[in-house]
Amino acid sequence: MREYKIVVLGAGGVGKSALSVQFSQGIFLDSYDPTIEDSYRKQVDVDGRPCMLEILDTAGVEQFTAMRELYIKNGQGFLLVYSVTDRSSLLELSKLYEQVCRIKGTKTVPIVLAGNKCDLAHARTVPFQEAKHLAHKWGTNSFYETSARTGVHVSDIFVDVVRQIQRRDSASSSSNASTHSASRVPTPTEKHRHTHSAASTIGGSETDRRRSSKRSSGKHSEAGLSTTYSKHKQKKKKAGGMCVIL
Amino acid sequence: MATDGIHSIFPPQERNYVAYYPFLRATHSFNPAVLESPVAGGCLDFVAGDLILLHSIHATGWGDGTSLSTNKRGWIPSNYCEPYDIPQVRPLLVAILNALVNPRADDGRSSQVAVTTIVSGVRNLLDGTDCLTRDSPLVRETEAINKSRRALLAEVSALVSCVKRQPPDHSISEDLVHRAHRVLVCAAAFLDTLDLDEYSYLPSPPPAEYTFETGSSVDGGGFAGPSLTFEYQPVSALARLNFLYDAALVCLGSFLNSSYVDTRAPAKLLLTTRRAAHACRELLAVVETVSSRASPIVYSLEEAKEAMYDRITAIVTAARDVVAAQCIENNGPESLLTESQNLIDAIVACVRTAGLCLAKAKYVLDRVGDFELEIDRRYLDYQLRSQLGESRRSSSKSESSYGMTAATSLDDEPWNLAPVSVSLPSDIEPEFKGKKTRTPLQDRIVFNADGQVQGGSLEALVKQLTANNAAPDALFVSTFFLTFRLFTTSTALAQALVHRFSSLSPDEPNVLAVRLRVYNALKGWMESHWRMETDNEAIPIIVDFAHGSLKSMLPFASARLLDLSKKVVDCDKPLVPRSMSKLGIDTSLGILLPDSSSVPTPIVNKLHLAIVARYVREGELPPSILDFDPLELARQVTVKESRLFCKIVPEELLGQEFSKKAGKSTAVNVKAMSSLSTDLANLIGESILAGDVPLKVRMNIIRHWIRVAEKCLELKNYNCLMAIACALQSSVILRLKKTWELLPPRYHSLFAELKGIIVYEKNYASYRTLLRNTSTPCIPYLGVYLTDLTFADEGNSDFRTFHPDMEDSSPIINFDKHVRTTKIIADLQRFQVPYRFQEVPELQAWLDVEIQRVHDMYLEDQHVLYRRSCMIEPKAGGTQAYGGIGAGIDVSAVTEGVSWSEERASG
Repeated sequence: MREYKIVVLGAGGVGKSALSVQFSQGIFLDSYDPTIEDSYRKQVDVDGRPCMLEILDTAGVEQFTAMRELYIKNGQGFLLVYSVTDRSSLLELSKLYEQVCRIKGTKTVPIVLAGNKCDLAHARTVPFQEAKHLAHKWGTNSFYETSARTGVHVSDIFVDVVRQIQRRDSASSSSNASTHSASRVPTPTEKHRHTHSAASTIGGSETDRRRSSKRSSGKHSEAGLSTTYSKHKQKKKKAGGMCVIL
Repeated sequence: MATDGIHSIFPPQERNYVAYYPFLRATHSFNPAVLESPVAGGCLDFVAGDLILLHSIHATGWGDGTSLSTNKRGWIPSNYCEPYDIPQVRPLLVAILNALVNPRADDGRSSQVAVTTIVSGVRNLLDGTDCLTRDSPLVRETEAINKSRRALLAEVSALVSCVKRQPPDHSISEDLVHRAHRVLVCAAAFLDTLDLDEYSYLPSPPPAEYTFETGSSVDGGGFAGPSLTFEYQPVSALARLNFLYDAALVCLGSFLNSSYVDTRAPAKLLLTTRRAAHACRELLAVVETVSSRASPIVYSLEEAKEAMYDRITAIVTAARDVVAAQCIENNGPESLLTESQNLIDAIVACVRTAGLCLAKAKYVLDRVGDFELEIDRRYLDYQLRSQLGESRRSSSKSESSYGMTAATSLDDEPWNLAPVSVSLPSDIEPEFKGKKTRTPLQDRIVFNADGQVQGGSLEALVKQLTANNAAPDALFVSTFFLTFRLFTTSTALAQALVHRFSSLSPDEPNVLAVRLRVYNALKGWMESHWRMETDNEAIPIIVDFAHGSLKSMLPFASARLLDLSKKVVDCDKPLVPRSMSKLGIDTSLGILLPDSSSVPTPIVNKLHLAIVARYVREGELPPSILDFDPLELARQVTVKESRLFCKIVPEELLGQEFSKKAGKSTAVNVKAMSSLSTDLANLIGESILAGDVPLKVRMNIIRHWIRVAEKCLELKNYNCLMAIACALQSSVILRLKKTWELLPPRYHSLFAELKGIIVYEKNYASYRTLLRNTSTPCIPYLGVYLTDLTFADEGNSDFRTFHPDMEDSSPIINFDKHVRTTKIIADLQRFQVPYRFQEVPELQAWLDVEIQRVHDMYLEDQHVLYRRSCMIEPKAGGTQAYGGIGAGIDVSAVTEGVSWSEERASG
């Protein structure tokens, strides 16, 4: 079984470890032992293929930058987590994103931006669109608002990053780089998508980097997005049973 | 509280005294050298027959004791000892304990009063053994008795003359304590020569496990003195099953004997019945544990188990009928005969069923494999309670936990069946509580299969802390006081404790013990766990309590609490520091390491030190890293890190305090240590990338750091090892391919080995194993603790449901979360032992200067090392591979890099 090393990055206190626990354990347990061997390993089916995910979480060692670099160096996909209740945690992600790109030596790294604690509506300080802009600046549509408490989009972010890794792998193994459209994999079904008021403009999370890099970060229009959205809808139909979300 | 020492909860009443056993007598000699462990130095060396004063006992069975013969203090294996408690000597023991071991400033005793009570204790002893006068026949006739009596009296007079030399009201001196101990030693020797039946000890192989009281059952007449049975060594289920089966048979057998011989002694019959029932229940409890592991359920075992419950019920019922028949005399002897026959039939049936149970349980064990039973304090509790006649428990509890209908019928008997004794299968646990009514708040508590508290309401946790049957477990107490601020407030806790005290009804079992434990909990909190900033709010409640109900019942306790309440309000350090690492025996021994190991001489060169000193002072001519001896460099870094590491206090590690931003966080030492690691890694990177040096020199610097890392491994400084490994694997260093190519193969493989010590794979599994077997001194890699603590905090919810499948689903505190946190912290504390290295001031100053310099450099520009790295070995593909993040670093890197090197060259 193919193993995927997913690195979870973000400032302390954004609840990123709760996301890892929620994902690897399935539910919020009464009793969770973080010291045992397979605490952060989880097997999931992505599009019918079993994958083993090893989650590397910098929880508690955010300060020890040298250690973080080691994690990044070994990671294949990255979850960048901030808290919707803490604006500074979003700002810190830019530095982390740069570090990931620098260490990986490329800007096309499998990456997902996740705004955690979205269940705390009353304490929200980061609007949905602001983070979405940032994701576009990074050239990705893979942005979700999550809640480790309620489980919203928790598995989606991990599945999304695995898909991105798979896509990158197949793209690099393919001799013709232009076949990217063939290797594009359907994204999570619509009902799993965010139900924010702006839901209609969110669109799919296909990370067609060429397309998004063409769109300048400021200019992405509603129309452009809804095109993606409708395309996504068609794809979804085709994907049907392939899309296995835990 | 278990760690508190026994004497503090020791009341003068004899009955309670028996329960705590502060005096032990060695049944076997013990030589710590046989432990073959470096920690043996902290153990007490004793020979069989020595008297030991036990200060506290740990759940592992190791106790902290003072040998009365040598007056030395250290760790003792309690299974080598038994409680020393003979009726004749009891007044003397009480006198010594009350007067010397537990001197209380407030009860106005002077040393003279203390000695007077001791003297009267000795008189009591002589009187009780008919040896009060020299002319008594025993003394006259037996030379040995005469001799030991004289020795005892000589010690007493020495004690008296010692106290006479002191001014009146003088506090009790060391010398006096020692002499009082000598009196007790002589008293014991004297009693030995008397060869009392009650106390004759014969050397036998060291006891390995449980002792079940069966031998003396025939002579009846009340229980013999309780035996100290610390069932702490893990016992395999099979061994215990066999053992209990034998014990049950002996009990049932002796039962048959006595009922045949004398059915006219109801007391004896009841006693024997009670023993038999105990033995069978113990056996059943293990069978329950075994059956809970059988998957799928083995029905024949379930049937045998059920039958066994019925048989015990039948025996108890039959015994009651016999006793009842005896009381109604006009029924005639024939009726009694019928009743006796019924009892005998019941016993025979029970023996048969016990055999069946054993066979079926063994069958299950064959399939699932033998396992170790949980180490469970309740073994001991069971014994004490039953033997002290305090076994009365609510019928509903034993009824529902065992499904025994007989329990209700037994309820009016003084020999009510013992409660749960061996760890119950976890699925039975919730059955503790009645199903119909809502469980009262103070009973909402959930245990896991090991008997560890997993959750409970604050009231229930407080009840557990002040339980009526046993001192609470050390881990529970430590966890409670370390973490209670995370789930309640100090005022709520103080109120709950006061409520616990005042809501006790006088006829509750062990009401005195509970009151003392409430006092003890408050005392322990104030002495060792007080935190001014949050806890001072609770002072008025405690003071009110001390002035009120406590004063009338326990005046000394009231005085002590009032005294403490004055001290704690403005004291920011614990009055009595207590490390949680004492939870584990080997760890506390680590701290007791003898000071004999010599401090190694620093490996330094005077000339080099002078260069270093000049650089630190004047900032000229930086010394080359290559001139430092790798071992000495490792030592100096270790000293620096160790100092910070030892300063870390548990509060820094709670509730992700260390993840808060610098300045807002109170976790100063953790923060300082993390930042030292980062700076150190940057310093290493900088030292390799600095200057315009030949490839070979750069390679030498890398090699030098690999050597330092190797020394760190030897010194067991894993934190620094990790910093070096990370630094050398960082992208700025790793990309220097030409430099690495020059590194000799030997160092390549050494580096591969070193970076393999701490790998995150499988959640640091290999490193965790390594650390488990590491002795102090050692600096563990802090990051693993911080990650574990973060996950323990975020991965476990604060509350859990009490009974998820029942109506009673109100949330209770998830205590398990806090136990996990405490265990992680205790493991960290295990290593908080300083290294014995000499600081070299010049090197320390140099490290400080360099760390600060690199820190500032990094703060100013995070990409400086990256640019230097690119300068040294430019990218193969030019600028296109990494297309300029932010301000287009690559282009500027090259230009800045050039200007930097030009500067360097010209300067």
